Amino acid sequence: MSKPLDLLQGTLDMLILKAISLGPLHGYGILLRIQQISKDRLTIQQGSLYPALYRLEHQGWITSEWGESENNRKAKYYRLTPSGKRKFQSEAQEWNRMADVIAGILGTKPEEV
Amino acid sequence: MTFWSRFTSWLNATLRRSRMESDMDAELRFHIDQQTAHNIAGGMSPKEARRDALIQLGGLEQVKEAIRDTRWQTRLDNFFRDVRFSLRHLRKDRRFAFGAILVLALGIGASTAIFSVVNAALLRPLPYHDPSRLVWADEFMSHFNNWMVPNPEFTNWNINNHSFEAMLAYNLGTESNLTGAGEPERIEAIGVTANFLTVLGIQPALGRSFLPEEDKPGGPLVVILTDALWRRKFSADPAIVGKSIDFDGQAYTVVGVLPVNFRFPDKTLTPECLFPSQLPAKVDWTSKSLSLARVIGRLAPGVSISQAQADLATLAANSNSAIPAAFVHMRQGLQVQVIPLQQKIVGDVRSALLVLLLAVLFVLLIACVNVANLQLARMAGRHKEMAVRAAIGAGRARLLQLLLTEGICLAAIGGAAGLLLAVFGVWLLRISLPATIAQIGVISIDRPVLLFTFAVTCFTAILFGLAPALRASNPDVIDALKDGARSTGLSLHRGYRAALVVAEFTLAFVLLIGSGLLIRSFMRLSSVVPGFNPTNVLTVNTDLPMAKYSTNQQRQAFFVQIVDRLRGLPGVRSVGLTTQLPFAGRWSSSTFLLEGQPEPPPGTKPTVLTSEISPDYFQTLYIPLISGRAFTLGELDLDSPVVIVSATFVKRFLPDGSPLSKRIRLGATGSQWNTVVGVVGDIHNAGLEHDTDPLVYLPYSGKIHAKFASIVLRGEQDPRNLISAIRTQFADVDPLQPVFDIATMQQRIDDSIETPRFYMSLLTLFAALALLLATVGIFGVISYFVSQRTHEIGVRMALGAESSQVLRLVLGQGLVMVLLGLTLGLGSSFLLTRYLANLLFDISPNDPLTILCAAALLALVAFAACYVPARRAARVDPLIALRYE
Repeated sequence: MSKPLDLLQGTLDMLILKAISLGPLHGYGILLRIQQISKDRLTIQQGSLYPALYRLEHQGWITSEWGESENNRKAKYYRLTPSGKRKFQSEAQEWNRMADVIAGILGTKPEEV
Repeated sequence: MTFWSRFTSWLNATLRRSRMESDMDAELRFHIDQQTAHNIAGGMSPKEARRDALIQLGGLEQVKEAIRDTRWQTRLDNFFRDVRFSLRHLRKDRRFAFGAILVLALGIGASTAIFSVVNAALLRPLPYHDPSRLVWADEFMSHFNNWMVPNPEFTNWNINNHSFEAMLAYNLGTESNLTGAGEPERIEAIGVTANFLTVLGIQPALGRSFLPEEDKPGGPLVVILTDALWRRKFSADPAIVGKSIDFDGQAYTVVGVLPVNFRFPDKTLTPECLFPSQLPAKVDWTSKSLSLARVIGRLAPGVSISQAQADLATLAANSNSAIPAAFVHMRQGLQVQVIPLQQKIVGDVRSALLVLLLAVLFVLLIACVNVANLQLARMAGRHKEMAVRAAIGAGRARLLQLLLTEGICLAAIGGAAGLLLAVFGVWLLRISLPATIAQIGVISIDRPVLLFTFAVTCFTAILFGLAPALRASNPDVIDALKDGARSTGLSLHRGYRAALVVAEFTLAFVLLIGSGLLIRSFMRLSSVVPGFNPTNVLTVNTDLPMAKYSTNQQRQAFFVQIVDRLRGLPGVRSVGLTTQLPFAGRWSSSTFLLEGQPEPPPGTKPTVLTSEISPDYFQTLYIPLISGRAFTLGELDLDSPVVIVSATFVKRFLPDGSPLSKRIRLGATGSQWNTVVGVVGDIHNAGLEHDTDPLVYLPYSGKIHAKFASIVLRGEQDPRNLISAIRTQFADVDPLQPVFDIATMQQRIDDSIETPRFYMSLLTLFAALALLLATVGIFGVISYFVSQRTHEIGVRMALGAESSQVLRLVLGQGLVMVLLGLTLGLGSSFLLTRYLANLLFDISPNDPLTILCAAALLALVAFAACYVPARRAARVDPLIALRYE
C-alpha cells in the first residue's frame, strides 16, 4: 500500500461536510467515515478535526445534538444545515472544476502546446 | 455583524461557557474512549491503547485550547483576561510598574511637548487661504550686502509678472503715537497694499479691507485695527467702523477690524494696525520717497517656484534700463530669490527645533531601552511560568499575545501619564518659549500632537515589549520545569541586556556632548563684555510726534528738559540720551568720508553706524573714554562740527597717527566737516554674538530722524523702583507724550540671548535625563549580574580569589559596556554635532574639551553605578553563597 497522503490545506472542511452529508455522525464517526471512503489513503490530524467542527458549527454550516451511539453512549452528532448543504455543493463544484483544470494542465503533452 | 449583536452573542457565549466546556469535555472523552476501544481491539494493552489515543488526538488540553480559539469571543476574552492578568501582575510588582511607567511617562511626555512646538512651528499650515501657494520674493543686493526690495521694483514685478495670481507688499512699519483713547500709547503700524488681506484670504471681523482708491499717494487717511488694539484701546466698540482716531496728531478713519486669530505674515513684525501703503501706481525710480518693501505673492495655479523666480529675475534685470545711472552699479550681482512663505517664516528655528526633537526622541529611546531591560530581568524570573503555560496548551502565539499585552498595558498607562506631563510641559514651554519661536504660532495639544503621542506610545510598546516577549515566549519546557534548574535563558539575556546598556550609553553620550557644546557656547556668549556696564541702568524709549514737535529746537528742548528733570530725581546717579540704544535692534547709519581721501563714485561710500547722544551718555553707561573728551552741553546744537568715534572705527579707518583732530564728513557731499574730539571704547551694539561695529557719535541734534530717542539712567541701586517717578516726570513735561518699552539694560542683554539660553536649557535637561536613565540601566544590569552569579563568585572566593579581584571582575563588566558606549557615541557625535553648528557661538562642533568632559562625567557616573553592586559582590561570603545553592 502506498504511503497515506497528507490533507491538502483547506480541504478538511469539505471532507467533513461530505462525510456528514451521507447522514448524521459523531466526531469519531466522521474520522472513520473519511478513512473508510478514502480507503485509508488519507490521514487526518485528529487534533485539527474538532476545532474544524466547532468552526463549521459556528459558521452555521452544520448543527449538533446529543444522541446515543451504536454502543449506547451519549455522543454528539453533527448534521448538515440547509445552508451547509448549499455551501458543500458549491465547494464541491469549485473543487471539481479546479481539479479538472489542474489535471488538464498536468496532462498536457509537449505536442499539444 | 453589528457591534450590538456581537456583544449579545459574546454575552450569551460567556453565560453558556460552562455548558460548552462540559460539552467539549464529554465529546472528547467519547472520542478517546472510542479510539481506545479501537486500539484494544487491535491488540494493544488498555494502558497503551489509551496513551496512543491521546497521542493521536495531539493532547487533550491542546485540542481544547484550539477549539476555544475558533471563537472570536475567546480571542477578545483572552485579550481582556490578559489585560486583567497584566494589571494584576503589575500591581503585584509595584516597584517595577512604578519605575517603568514613570520612565515611559517622562519620555513620552517630553517628546509630546517638544513635538507640540514642532507641530506649531513647522507642520501646521500658515493661517491663510491655500498657504502652499504663498511665496516670499526678495532681492539680494551685494552692494549693501543685504536683502531688500525697493518699492519701484515691487511695482515693476506686480505690473509685469506672468507667474502670480497676485502680489502684495508691506513696508517695515513705523511706530505712531495713538492719542485720544485713554493714556497716549505708541502703536506699531505697517503700511500694506490694498490687496493685502484679499491675497492672504482674510476677512475682516468688522468693516472691510482697504479700497484701491485708498491706496494711492495722497489718498484718504484710513486704518484697520487688530482685534487686540480694538479691545484694549476702544473697549471692543462694535460701532468703531467709520469713527475717527488720532495717530501722531492726524485723524484716521477706521474702516475695519481684523479677526482675533490674525497673524501678520512676518514674525519680525507685530503691528497693531494697518495703513494703506499708498505707493505710486507706476514704476518710478526717481521718486524722492524711495522706500523698501517686503513682497509676498500668490503663485498662479500650475506655476512652480523656480518659474516664478526666473520671471522676477528677468523683470529685475529689465528694470536696470529704467534706473538712474547713479544707482545702476548698486544693482551689480543682484539676485532674486523666491521661497515658500512657510520657509521664510520658520527658516531659522527649523534646525534648532529638529535638533531638540531628535534629542528628546533619544531620551525616549533610552527610556524604552530601560523598560526593556527591566522586562528582560522580570522575564528571566518568569521562565517557569511560561514553561507551565506552554505545557498546558498555550501556543507560542498565545504566549506572545500575553506578553505583548503586558507591554501594551504599560505603554498605555505610561502614554496617558505622559500626556498629562505633556500638558504641563506645554504650559511651561508657553511661558518660557523665546519670542523667536513663540511668534510663529500658538503651541497646543491638538489632533496631530495626540496622534504623535499615540504613535509614540505604540512604538514604545513594540520597542520594549517585543524583544523580551519573543525571547520569553519560546521557553524550553523540559529544561525549565526541571526542579532547581537555573534559567537557561540567562546567558542569552545577559548579552542582550548588555547590548541595551551599550545603546543607552551611546545615546546618552551624544546628548551630553550636544548639551555640553551648547553650555560652553552659551558661557562664551554671556561672558562677552558688552562694552559698558549694564548694572543699575534703566532705559526708556520715547518718540516725539511730528505734528506737535515739528522743529529741531522743540525736540531738543523736550529731551534736555526731561534729562534735567530725571537727573534731579533722588537715587539717580546720571542720565544720558541716545538715538541708538544698544541691544534694542535700532539702526541708524550714514555714509562717511575721511578728509584727504578722494571722493568715491556715488553709492560706493562706506557706511557707519551713528548715534546722537547727550554729553553724559558715556558717563552713564560707563563707556570708557580712551582719548580726547566727551561732548559739552553747549555742543548740543544742529551744526556743532564735532564727532567722537569708537575704537574699532579708529582701527579700521584711522589707523595711522592720532585720530584726534582728524576730520570726517557724514552724509551727502557738501555737508560740513566734523573734527574728531574723542575716542571711546567699543560696544556690541547689535548683540553679544556680533562683532563690534565702527560707531560715530554726534551731539544730539533733534533732527527729524532723532525724534525717536532713548533715555539711559543709572541709579544708585536697582532703578526699577524709579519707574513711576519717571512716568510722572514725562507727564509733567507733556501729558500727551507716551513713554514706552521701559526695561533695565540687563534685561535687554538677557533678552538678546534668550533663544540660545532656551536651547541650552532644554538640551541640558534632556542630557541630564538621559544620563540618569543610562545610570539606572547600568546599575540594574550589573546588580542583576552580581545576584545571578553569587554562586560562581562564592566558588571563586572559596578557591582563593581576593575580594579585590572580584571587585575588578564586576567593574570590568561595567567598564566594557561603558567603553563600547563611549566609542559608538563618539562616532555618532561626529556625525550629529555638525547639525548643531549654527547654534554654536565661538566653539567648534567637535570641541575636544567638551567631548572629554562629557566622557569623564559619563564614565564617573557609570563607575559609581557599578561600584555599589561590585562592592556587594566583593563582600560575598563563600560559605553562604555556596549553601544558597
